[in-house]
Amino acid sequence: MKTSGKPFAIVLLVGGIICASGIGFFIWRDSRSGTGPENLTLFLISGLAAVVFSAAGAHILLGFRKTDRKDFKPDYRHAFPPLGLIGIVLLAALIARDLSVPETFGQYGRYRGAAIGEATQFEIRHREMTVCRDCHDEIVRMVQKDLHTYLECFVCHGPAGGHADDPESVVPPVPRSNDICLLCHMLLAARPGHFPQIELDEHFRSAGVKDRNIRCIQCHSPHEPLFMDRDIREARMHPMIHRCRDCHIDMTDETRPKPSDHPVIFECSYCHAGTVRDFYGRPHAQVKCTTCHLFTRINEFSGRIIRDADPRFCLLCHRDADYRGPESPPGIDWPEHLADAGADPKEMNLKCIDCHSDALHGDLSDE
Amino acid sequence: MSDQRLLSRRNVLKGLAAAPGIILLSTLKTGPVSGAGPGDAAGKIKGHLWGYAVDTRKCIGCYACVRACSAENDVPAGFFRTWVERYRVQADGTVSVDIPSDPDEGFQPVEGDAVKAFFVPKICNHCAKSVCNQVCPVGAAYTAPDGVVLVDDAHCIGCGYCVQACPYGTRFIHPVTHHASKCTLCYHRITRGLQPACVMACPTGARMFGDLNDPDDRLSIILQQRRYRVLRPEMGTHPRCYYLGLDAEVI
Repeated sequence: MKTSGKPFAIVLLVGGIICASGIGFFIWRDSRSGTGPENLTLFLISGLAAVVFSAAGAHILLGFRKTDRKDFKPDYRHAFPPLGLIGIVLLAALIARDLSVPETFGQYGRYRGAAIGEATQFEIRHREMTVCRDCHDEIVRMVQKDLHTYLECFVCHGPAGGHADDPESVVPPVPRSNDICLLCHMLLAARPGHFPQIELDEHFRSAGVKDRNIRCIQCHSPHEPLFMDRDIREARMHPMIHRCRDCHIDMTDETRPKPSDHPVIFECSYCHAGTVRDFYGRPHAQVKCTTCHLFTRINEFSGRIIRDADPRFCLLCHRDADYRGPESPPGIDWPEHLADAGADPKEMNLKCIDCHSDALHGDLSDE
Repeated sequence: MSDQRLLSRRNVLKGLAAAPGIILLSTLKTGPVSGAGPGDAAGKIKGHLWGYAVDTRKCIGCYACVRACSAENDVPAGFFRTWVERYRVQADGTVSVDIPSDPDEGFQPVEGDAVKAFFVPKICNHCAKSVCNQVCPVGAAYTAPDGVVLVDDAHCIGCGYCVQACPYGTRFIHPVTHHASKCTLCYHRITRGLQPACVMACPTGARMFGDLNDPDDRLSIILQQRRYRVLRPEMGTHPRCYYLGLDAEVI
């Protein structure tokens, strides 16, 4: 051993610096990903190597500085016990880690990959409406055409996961109390204003219900809530669909179908057959019912027809104007028309239908 | 002389050269493995990035989502993986927040004249940079490749550090198993092509679930077309739970 150990010490020092910069790189990368150190083994071993290499290199270089003897021969024997100890500890740590770290650790990230598979192994309890349809087709079709179409069966009937496999022993509950309806339909200040909601006392009062023990489902079919189970005028409620959004809550611009493709939900003649038949025999026959009977949302009995018959509404079609053609409905000058007809000019709040009710339809008092 | 040969520079260098080899072998052993048996989920999670959206303007506070979640996931009584908060703002600006004492009874009318009141459904935000994962000392809190933040029940030690760390308060320690428990977006359902129970239960469509990686997915379209924000963006957690129509009072 003739040469000096200086180059060796420098190699050790450089190795230590490389290991230390490796540590710095790991810290930088892991702090960016935000998931913690990805390979903990490499991280720890790099740290250990950085310390050992740098310390050994510096130690040897310092030893050379202390002597001026040309024939100085460094003796590395004293380094053997600590280095051996470090090696043994490292080996033991690696073996312990190998035994304790789960097999699939690191498959997708710094966690046990098999845990993902285990998370998928759980019993499905809430089944969708299509499963119910296999046996209860009639009810499901009834629900799907009505306002409760977005209500899954389990919302009222509970999660009856086993019912489809064993209908005899697993029977879903059939709730009949008002409580379940009021979970959604009780008047709360925080509920959106457009959602139908009632205060029970006020509802009974305005609907003319005398029996306080009456249940919601005695008037309102839960599977077909749009129509009343009882005589529709007894509770003065009118089907109140006037916008697509009243029923179709989950439409985006992409999924919106053509309104012309929509199936007929109800016709006015279903309930007002006499009036509609009479109306078709009169001059306004080509006008739709909804042209004049606008629906408004005033309270929970919304959908009532505006009956005040403001003359300005009739004049939208019947005012004499330059743009009118031969096909247009008969035009008049207003309010000169009142004087021409011999009405008292002071009676300016005279309504069109006071004279022209024949042009519309018969008396509605029987409807 | 023999001692000197044993400790010669050459031998020391040899030893140092061999060390990285041992290290490399050990890391290879614990490195990525494939085909992890029957529980392997690689096929199911591929390519998805699940997201969640809440339209607070549609929520009617019926609590159907919470009841469905509890029944679907065996959530113990008194704990919730999802819940709905009622915010009530008075004319003088004071804000009060409450949840029903009994989920089966739902919200009840309260006294007081709030000038503004609304419901806000809350759920695990499944953050892209989740705090709970970072603090877990045993690697039991993790984010699956499809973006769902989950708990490895087999390795969770129930220390509760993640419960403390979550800025949204969505985690709890299960009183029976003593593991951290949280919303999994019904992982057993979504990996089989179903929607989470709370999304299915919602009567007004206030809760929405979808794949952010699929540009044709309904959720992606909604996030393209609507205005939204996330809860507590200042925490830097980058939640994947988006809120439409959220009021400034909500934290």
